[in-house]
Amino acid sequence: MADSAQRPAAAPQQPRRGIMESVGAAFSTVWSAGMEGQRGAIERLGAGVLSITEAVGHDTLLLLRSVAWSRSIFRKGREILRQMFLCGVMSFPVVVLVSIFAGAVLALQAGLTIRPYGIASKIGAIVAASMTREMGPIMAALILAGRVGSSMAAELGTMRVSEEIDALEAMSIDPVRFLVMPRIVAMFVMAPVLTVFADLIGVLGGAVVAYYQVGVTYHSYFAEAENVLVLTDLNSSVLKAMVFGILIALVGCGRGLRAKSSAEGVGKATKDSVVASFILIIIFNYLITSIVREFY
Amino acid sequence: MIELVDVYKAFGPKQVLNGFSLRVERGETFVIIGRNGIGKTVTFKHIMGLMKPDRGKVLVEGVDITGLSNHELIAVRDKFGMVFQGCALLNWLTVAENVALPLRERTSLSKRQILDKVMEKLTLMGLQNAGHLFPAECSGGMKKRAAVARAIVRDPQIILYDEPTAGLDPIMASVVNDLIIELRQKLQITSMVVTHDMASAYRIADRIGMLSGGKLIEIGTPEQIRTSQNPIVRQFIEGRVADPAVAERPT
Repeated sequence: MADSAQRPAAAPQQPRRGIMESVGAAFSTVWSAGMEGQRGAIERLGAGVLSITEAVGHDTLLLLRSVAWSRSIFRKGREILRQMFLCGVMSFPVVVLVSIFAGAVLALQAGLTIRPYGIASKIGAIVAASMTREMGPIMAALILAGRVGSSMAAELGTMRVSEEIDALEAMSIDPVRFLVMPRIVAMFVMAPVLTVFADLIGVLGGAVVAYYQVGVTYHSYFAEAENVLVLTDLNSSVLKAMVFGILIALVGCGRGLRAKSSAEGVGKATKDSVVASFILIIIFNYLITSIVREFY
Repeated sequence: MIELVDVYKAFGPKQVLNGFSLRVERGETFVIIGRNGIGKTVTFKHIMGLMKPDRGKVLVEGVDITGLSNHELIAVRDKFGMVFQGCALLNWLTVAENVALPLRERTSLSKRQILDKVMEKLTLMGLQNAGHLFPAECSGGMKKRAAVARAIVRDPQIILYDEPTAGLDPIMASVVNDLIIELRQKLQITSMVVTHDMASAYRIADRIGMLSGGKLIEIGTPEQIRTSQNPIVRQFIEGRVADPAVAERPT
């Protein structure tokens, strides 16, 4: 009696599902989850495409308005000079350091590879061509995107958060004329200057390594460098730098002006500006190289 | 002078202004009070044309500015000066350069004329010896006064003050309040002030409006507001923790 009193009452039995019913239910669950996941992915893709389209549209308008405001270039001369100092002069030490070692490692790798074939003197040609045609403009641009573009996005984003952009608009001062145009002009001028320095210093760095580690004389190194380079290389380098300079300033300012009003918004604008600039630099580098090679 | 007629503005699902109407007369000081995030600053941005309403009219001297282009809005904004809550001084310019900015960018005055005008306004604000300082080197009160100097440097007809005494000690808050009263008396400027500071509101206002639920639920003289029996107004001016009976419904 005691046992039967302690025994729990039997739970009411659930009606048993047939195998086909269970399989059907499982399939339905998986199908719904899959559709849900697909819808989520499509929504994210759509949001991403919209966001990119909006950013491209915004930045294109920003560029056109900056070009329109370039008539005020002399009135904004002081601000442009200040930006040239901040973007160009302050970036110079980093560009020098990176260029020296980029040229050096290029010379070392090229030297070690071609020395067994007895054409080590060609290092000068390899380093000069690589630095001037591709590495100089790309390296200077990546440094500027990381150092200057991000700082522009952070600065303008912070100004957005602290209502300084609103204050300019309230004073009928166009932020594009006051903030964006001087930055674009400064980068348009200083990016080529830094790039030419990067080309030159990279070649010099390569010369030192070629002399000490590969055993190529300075004379033959520079003679080979001179032989391989044509004016088009320098022109292409400067053209790339101008385009990269505009892109970096445009993306940095665009992301800053569109930053959400929070610390997180400024952080995101900064990060996005660096990522977008890097991608654009790589794409435009290919496009410009293709166009230049096509016509020269 | 300034009139908002049945203005609606939403940010996503949040309805911030919900049939907001207001009329401010020339030379009047009108104070808007209300809780944080209720739409006080948004109201100012509509008056300046920095935001466009979803519905309704914003009239400045009889002209509806909601349909104006950016170019046309410039002429309207030239009538205004605005003091922002965080002062919004440009940190790479000195106090004097900040004050000179609207003159340098928006007028064709000579350097000498600009300097004279800037010194006049800095002196009016008691900042005659602080022109060379950068905003980071200034106290909160100095920044606020510099922001007021910048707002009045072009002798506007209307000044909007967004939380002019926020973050200031009581003495400095009194200085700013006196300044607002003095500007009205000396220059006959129309002022609109957004504040949480009831002592300041009672002192400077000709009329006070309580903003709640996206519209002004009560408008009156300081005395009328002080003795108001509206439970939301009483709760706000007495600083009582929300009473469920009168707590604002989420918008």
